[in-house]
Amino acid sequence: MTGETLRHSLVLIVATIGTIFMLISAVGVLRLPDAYTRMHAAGKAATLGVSGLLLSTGIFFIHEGQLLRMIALIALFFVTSPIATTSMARAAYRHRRSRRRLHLRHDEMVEAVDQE
Amino acid sequence: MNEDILEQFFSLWIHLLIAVLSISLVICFIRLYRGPDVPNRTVAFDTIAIHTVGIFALFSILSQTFTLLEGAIVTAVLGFLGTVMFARYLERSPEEE
Repeated sequence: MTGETLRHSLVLIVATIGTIFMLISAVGVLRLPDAYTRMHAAGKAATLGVSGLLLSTGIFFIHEGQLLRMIALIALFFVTSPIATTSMARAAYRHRRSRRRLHLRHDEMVEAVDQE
Repeated sequence: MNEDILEQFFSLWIHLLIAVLSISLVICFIRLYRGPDVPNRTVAFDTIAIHTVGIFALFSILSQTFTLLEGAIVTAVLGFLGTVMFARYLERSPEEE
């Protein structure tokens, strides 16, 4: 009985941490001023938020042998999230209209991109 | 008796977490609706896909069926592919609009 209670309370703690991070990142996506800072907020949900939720699911189904699979899914997220964010940032920079809304003092890449 | 109360508390707390995650998903949909241009909507789409995976995980805890986790894996891969596709499309058409 104590082992069961310990497992359930561990699941609740980890899932609560993950959910709080998802909520914070959604508020950041809504409130931050331009596309790059919104990507920064979305990266928090992709790493700590969803890995907390998946880890809690793996702990809950540990007797069914699902923990290893959830760890593999967390590793998939850690590999794909930087790729998605990098390609989004690159596309947003090369999209002319959104570059005008950027709050930068000095932009080194503008000549290199405009030459193409 | 005691175990019964603990079981009910566990179920109630998981329900509460699903409610908070749904509110956060609605916030992401507000950004998808209001986003001034296509890059902002791409960021909102990426966040919505990640939230879907989280809701899948919590719902599989609530209904105690780990078969639903297959759906979570497929949704994660599809969200990543969709985000990269949107980014490539944006990069190809810089003068659009």
